[in-house]
Amino acid sequence: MKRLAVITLAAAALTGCHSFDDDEPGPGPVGNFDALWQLIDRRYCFLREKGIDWDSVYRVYRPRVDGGTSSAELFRICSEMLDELRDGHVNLSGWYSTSYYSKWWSDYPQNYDWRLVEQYYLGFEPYRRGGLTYAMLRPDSVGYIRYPSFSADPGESTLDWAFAILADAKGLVIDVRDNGGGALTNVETLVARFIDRRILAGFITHKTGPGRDAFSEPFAYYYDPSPRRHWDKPVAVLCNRSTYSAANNFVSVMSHLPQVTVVGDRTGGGSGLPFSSELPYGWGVRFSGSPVYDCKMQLTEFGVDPDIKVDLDRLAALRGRDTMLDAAIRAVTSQQ
Amino acid sequence: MRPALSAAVLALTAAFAAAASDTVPERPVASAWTLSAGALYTRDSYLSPLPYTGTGIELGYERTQAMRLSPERWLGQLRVDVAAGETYNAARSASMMRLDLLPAVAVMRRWQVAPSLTLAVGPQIAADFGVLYAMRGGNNPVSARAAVTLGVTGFAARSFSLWGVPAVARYQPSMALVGAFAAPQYGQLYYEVWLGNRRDFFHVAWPGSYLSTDHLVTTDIRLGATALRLGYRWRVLSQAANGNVARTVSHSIAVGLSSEWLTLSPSRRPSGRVISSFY
Repeated sequence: MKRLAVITLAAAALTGCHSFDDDEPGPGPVGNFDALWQLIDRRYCFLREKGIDWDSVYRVYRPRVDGGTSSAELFRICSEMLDELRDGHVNLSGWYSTSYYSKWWSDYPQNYDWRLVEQYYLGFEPYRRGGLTYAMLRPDSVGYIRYPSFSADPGESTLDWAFAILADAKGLVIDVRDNGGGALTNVETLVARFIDRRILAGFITHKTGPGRDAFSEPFAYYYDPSPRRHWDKPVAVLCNRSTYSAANNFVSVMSHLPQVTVVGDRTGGGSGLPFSSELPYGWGVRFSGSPVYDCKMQLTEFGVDPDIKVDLDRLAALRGRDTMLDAAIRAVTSQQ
Repeated sequence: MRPALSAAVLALTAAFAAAASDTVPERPVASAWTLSAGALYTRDSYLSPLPYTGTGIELGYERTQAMRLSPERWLGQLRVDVAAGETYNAARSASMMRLDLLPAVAVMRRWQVAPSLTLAVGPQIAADFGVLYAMRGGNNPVSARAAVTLGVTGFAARSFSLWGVPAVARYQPSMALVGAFAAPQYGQLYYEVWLGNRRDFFHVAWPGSYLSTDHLVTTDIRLGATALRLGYRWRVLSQAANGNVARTVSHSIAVGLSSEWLTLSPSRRPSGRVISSFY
């Protein structure tokens, strides 16, 4: 029994090894501000890539907060500080609002008008199933698939049906304009239909500690071809600045396939997998925590450039023409 | 060499068999079902820097029996607990759900140190499989629990009379000593683990990295063939790996039923000698 008591006491002493690396964040405006700054300092993954001096950011914003700062003021100051990260994956969710950095798309032309496509190319009668809208574009006999969000599972059977219905098409346009992302597993589901052998999809890393340069070795991840119906004809992926996050990843992976042409505007980026945490006020914080690189170990946080750069011509749109979609159709048919 | 070894094994088996057939005692199974409820504290730096508090419940099953080989000296014990709970941050703007399956198997050497006092201690193999789930969702809503450990447990049991009713009070602490547990890297998402990157995902468990202690105090008050079990449990699960610390602490009051039961074989006459687990 003596031994048991000694072991128990020793173990109790060892609980000191389990101390949390940061004390519990302090209350009040200053405590919440410091908690946010420290959270980003330790866990945000693009400080170096974006050339952000996070210490100087602290020196700029911290003096604006004191014990009398109201919660509304604090929310605004914190939101402005987070905007310094220039990251669409960063949000501060307060009691009454959620901050959102939008310049990755709002500083550029939208380059997308769904009504234009639906009315003049699809005649309001496309096939709609699951997360997809698809149709045969006449008179070019080019298949068209609109995938507006990677949050929606495209559906394996939906893809089977779409490929069957578009089987006679000369090629395929996949329209991911205004696709703000979603689940990376849906990227794999879709890409797997366009490959006939295992491909290197990219690399992923993560923070291994609170140090700003503490990152793991890049881990290569692969996609395998789907055992179901494939598409082996030319493909154009149509994107704009609002093609973001998982959609950006989709464009990145597809752009390395030989039969694929990327058409449109540069994508919005967003290659950091978001991580979530919170502040003592109970405000939620979301930020990029785990960088994803393409198969050539290039960072796509700032977007993927198209092979054919084209904008939506507003005058042509008034005549019922989507110049970006037209360019995508030409890219597909020119490969015949 | 081989014939000599076989002869020795045969002789040993025959000796045990003869001894067993002469004095095979009845070994009742002491089993108990308990439902516990109480305060729950969770803090997991992988999910949040903030501590969460709330309430938890546990459903527990316990089975203890004197071992066949040396029933007066050795006991075998199986415990299975399912723990669930919900905790909130101080602002009550977010909550976490906790679910754990906690099985443990122990073998204990016991000593009858006084007519009404039994002490026991021995090794145990325990596991913890569960999750702490942040209801906010997102890419990192889950912190998984997966551990298998070898540890030590023991108890002090004292039989007494409570207003003329037979009762048994027991204090049983348990602690994990060595083993293995799983934990992602500091900022690693489970998506990356799912992709196949399990580097530094499994860790050696020792009290400096994985602390699992359980303190159980019970009183079984005999009510005819069944006993009412009243108890208190303090359980601490704490792990530290890759810069993240996860801790769950619960204090709960337990209420349950315990009983002792025998399985009799038609082919064997009861010996009349009964060796109970706790008294």
